Amino acid sequence: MTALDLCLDLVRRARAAGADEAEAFFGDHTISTIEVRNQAVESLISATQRGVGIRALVGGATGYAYTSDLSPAGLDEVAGIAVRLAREATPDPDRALPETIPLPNQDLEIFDPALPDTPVEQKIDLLRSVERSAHQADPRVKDTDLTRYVDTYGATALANSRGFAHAYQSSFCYALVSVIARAGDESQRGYGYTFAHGLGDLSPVEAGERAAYRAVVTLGGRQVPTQKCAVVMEPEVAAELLGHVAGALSAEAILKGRSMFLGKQGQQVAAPLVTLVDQGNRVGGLGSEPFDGEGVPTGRTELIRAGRLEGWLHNTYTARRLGARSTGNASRPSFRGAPGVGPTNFWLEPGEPSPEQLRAGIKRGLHVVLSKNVGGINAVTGDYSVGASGLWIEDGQVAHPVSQVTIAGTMLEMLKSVVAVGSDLRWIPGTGVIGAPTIVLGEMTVAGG
Amino acid sequence: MFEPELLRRVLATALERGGDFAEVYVEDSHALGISLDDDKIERVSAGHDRGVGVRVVVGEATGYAYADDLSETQLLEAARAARAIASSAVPVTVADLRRIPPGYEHQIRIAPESASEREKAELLRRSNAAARAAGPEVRQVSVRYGEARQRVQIANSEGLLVEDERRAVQLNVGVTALRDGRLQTANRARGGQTGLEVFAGEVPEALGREAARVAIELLDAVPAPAGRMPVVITNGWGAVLFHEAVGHGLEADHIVHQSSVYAGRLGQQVANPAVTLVDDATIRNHRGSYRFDDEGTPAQRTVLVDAGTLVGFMSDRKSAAKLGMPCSGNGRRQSFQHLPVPRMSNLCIEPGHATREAIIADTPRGLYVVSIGGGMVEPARGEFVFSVTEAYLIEQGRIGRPVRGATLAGDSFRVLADIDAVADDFALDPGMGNCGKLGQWVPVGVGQPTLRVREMLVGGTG
Repeated sequence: MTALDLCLDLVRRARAAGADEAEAFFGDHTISTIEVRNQAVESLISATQRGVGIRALVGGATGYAYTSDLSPAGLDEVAGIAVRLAREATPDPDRALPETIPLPNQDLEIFDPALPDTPVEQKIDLLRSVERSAHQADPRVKDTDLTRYVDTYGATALANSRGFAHAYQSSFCYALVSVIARAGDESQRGYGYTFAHGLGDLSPVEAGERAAYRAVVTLGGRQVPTQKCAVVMEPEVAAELLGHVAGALSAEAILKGRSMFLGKQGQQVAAPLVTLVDQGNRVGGLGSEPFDGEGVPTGRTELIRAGRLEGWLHNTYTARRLGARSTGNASRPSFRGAPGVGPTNFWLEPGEPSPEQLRAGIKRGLHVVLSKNVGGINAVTGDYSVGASGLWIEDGQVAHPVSQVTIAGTMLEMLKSVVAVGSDLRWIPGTGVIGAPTIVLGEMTVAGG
Repeated sequence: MFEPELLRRVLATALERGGDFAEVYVEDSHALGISLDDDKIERVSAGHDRGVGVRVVVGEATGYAYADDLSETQLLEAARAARAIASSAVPVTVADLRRIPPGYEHQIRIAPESASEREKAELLRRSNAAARAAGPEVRQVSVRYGEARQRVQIANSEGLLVEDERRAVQLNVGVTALRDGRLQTANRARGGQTGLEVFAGEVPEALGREAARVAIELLDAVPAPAGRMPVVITNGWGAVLFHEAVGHGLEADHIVHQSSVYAGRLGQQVANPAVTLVDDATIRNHRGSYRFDDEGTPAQRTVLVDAGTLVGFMSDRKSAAKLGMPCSGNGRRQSFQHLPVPRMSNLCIEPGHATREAIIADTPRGLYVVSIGGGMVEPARGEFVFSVTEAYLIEQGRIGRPVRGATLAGDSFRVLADIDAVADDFALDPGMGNCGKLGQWVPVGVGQPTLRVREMLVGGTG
């Protein structure tokens, strides 16, 4: 049975069990993982992940169930559970499957057909070069904490009782390295990574060099006195902030009153330099897919244009509630979950200056290389507080490394205080795939000794 | 769960090309989640996960294969995939499997699977109603109920065969309060490896009322101060700070890789003599407990710091062998999709002799921390940072105004050495903790009495 046949079969079983409408989502993926330490293979992991989830609507209420038991009995059981659970949910007329919209005929280039046939030796060689690059980049890099390669490929299929039935292939691979640099009694960890749809598009040397840079750059770091000053955020640090901004731009958060952007549509919420875009059908995008988690074609949405809040990320339910159209942002990490709302490829439009030019323009401030978010970022209240390490900048020059400080502010103030955006856009997978360049914030509170 | 004969055949297949050790891990898990939002039961979902993982160890290298199918064919297929790491022509013999009974049982009075979804949904409605009745500022209430039951079977080539069942139930209430355009949130939760008896009486209402009270109170919060000051941490969940700041550095993989500040310090004074730190996987019905870890080693209580002296680490088989120490039974994994790594179970600081009231009265100015959101540690440097979700100023020895947006930062060594007062009011956390490491999430518990850290770096904007 093909992936699509299985989905259609499960939809029929759910209808037979009493569902008014039903939707089945099937994932079938092969995963391989390799870990290397000191150039020797430490582990080889191979896996298959296959399962199906069923959303059943009964009288306007929704139930969800999933299983990896794909036998006829297993499918009947999971369909029955979804229908039973739906009867316990509160009916809500806006809970409905989307109207079927034809998919555009476009290759998003998210599947590299060479990946499934790539020999394991080639992956091991690539991983070794990631680790080697990190160690060769700086003599203070002494140990490897983790060097990991992961690839996954396979099929995703979705079918519903309104006639939607489509499947697609996708692939994804990454290499990640975390190294420890030592100087005297001090040690510091740094990570680097590279992501792509296929092995040939990975950048192993750059990943290793970034890990080395992050590990050594704050060695000898010290605290700075508590003060307000300019803050430069490297792309990874900015991406973490933007990920939370994306969460607060979800219509789900707005509907539930859990967003710092509540009541601010149409207002200037950020500096004019700030334009935030989500686009699920970007060709080659790491977060791209032809249709979202409930079969709506993906598209392009400007959430904030030149600082003005234009709209929200929607799935079918939130769009119906707010009288809007779904933006194709029904997110679904796997068959284990019913669709929510989430970003796909979500980015801050890059500017002109290079990171070096940005730093040269700082009179006095903190250049943040590593941030540690421990739940101090709250998309509801807008509070932002993270641990940070990096470099102290005076008159555009590095004065000394900084460690063990915290930076704090509110995200709404921070978005308004963006005074420069760099050209160095980097894509960082997390919740969705966040694209961020280096940014400069005019003023934040840095807490130190 | 499978017959020993089949498991032995899988292990023999795994070792057909040689190897030092093979293990088969079988899992069958059920989960149920109900969520209430916006006065509606919005999501009711259930899942069934089952699968097998086969591990082959050859010297320093590990081969692992897993699949979410429990057919005999699939078990043998996984064994063949896992042995790709081995290359000898000589098969290794597998010992006869001997079943080891668990050392204790959890007491489950009302098995969650014996109640209907309707009865469970009623718990959420009760929390919601109580929270909404708490004040006009309450703008949104979300309540989540979760239940999980994981059955595992573990067999290895040394002849071990064990079975364990881990459970979890949890009720979590989140309240958003709004006044004059300012939003605040607060959460309260209760759970454990228990049955539904943990929610008996007025527990759902109490969770709702308490979360609402705190969210409303935080509307009057002042920005957290910034700078160094004494920090008093309340009993129970407050120990998550020590889980992060100290516990991770005592996990034996970090010791083996010299990526912990505690490496090479066994027998040394690492804390104030008032501090005794243990990891205890045998606490009945608590969230982080188990009878066997995920390699089949019987659960135990491990003393890590004894009156200030470092005396132990938390290990899995691999790290214990490298350190030449007995395995402490801390090899845990999220599921059959993961390899085991050393993890905490329930990390606890033992009670002292002071009283909570005396500690606060003895603190002229500082921060009183009631609830910690989450934290992270850099074990190599021993640096940590935490977000604080509920805290109050201590002014002239009294608890004063609530503060918002605080973080706590410091280093492991100093925070243990700087504990200068330990109260007698030990409590376990309410049973809702999860810990992430190397991409794997496992349920954990913590416990501690109220205690004071002489000085920590508070990050705020005030």
